[in-house]
Amino acid sequence: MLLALGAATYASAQNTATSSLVVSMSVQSSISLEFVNGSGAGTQGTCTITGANTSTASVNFGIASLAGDNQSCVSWSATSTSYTLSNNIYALVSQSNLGSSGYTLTASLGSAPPSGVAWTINSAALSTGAANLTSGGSYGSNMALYLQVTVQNTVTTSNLSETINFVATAN
Amino acid sequence: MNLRKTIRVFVLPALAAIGALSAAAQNPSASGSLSVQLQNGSGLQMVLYSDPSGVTLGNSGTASASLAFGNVSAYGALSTNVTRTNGTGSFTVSTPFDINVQVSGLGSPSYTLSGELSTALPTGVTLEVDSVTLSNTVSTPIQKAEPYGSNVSHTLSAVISTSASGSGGPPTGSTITTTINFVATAN
Repeated sequence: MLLALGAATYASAQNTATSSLVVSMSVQSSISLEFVNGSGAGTQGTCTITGANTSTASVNFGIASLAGDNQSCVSWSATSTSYTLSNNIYALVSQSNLGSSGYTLTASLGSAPPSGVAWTINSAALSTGAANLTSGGSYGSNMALYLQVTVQNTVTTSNLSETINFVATAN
Repeated sequence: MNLRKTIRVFVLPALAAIGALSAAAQNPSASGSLSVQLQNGSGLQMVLYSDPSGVTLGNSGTASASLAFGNVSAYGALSTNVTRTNGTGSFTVSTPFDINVQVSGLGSPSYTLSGELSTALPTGVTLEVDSVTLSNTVSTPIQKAEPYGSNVSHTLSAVISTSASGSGGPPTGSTITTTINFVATAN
């Protein structure tokens, strides 16, 4: 008896393979604030900041008194009863996927300063409560923040370092 | 002389009798042959895998997987293993994933990987694999000489306009979904 078994696989040429990848995402509106060095960074009145292009920066005003300041980049002035340090800081606020045309910027001190010490930005007095710096900030442009601190001669020798917290809110 | 003749007479019938007994004891038999036909074909198989540095795929290890970027934004927090590059007027979120193509029955040394979107993406969003922009109208070659038999890492990127929705940017707060159909073709 002759049994011919036509075996199974008569595969035609298959020289391709396929796969599918389902991709999903949800785009969210967002806003950022970072500190940047201005064009005159390092010159008097505009100290170079540490942590430029981030949202956590620092600037060193040095050691100051009625006699002067040991940081050449800090503008110093004095009266008979106080001295004032001044410096330009720059903030850059950016937005993405927002219909907002501008932003509001506020600032507050991280802790109350000692009596006889007063901080201002663009002439707005700072405290632990939010002070409005602008209600019409322009995205993508450096905003100049003229930071000043005035120290009365009644203030004892001490560390007057402060943290200033900024909040930019899309209008 | 007579004695020798007598012996021969007895011996020959005896041998003949033994032969007859042997034939009678053999079982019946039949013969046959089996012809087996088999043609070895050629084939490719493609499987998607999570990359160790990428977003974990849904259904990793199959040909039908999913990849969720989650919430994406220019400045906000991103999902694990999603990276971001901010450009002028757009930002790009990326993550790697792996493709493994197996081959049999071919002398092909490599394959070409192509991809096509199943649907058009919203305004302000484009998808790239290995920096090749994909469309929903044509399968676009992504890599032209990929090796068989190993996980090959590819980078999936979404390039997203920073413009507001309705002004050239994508819709916000809603899920955008599309499917990339990959084709591996033996070279």
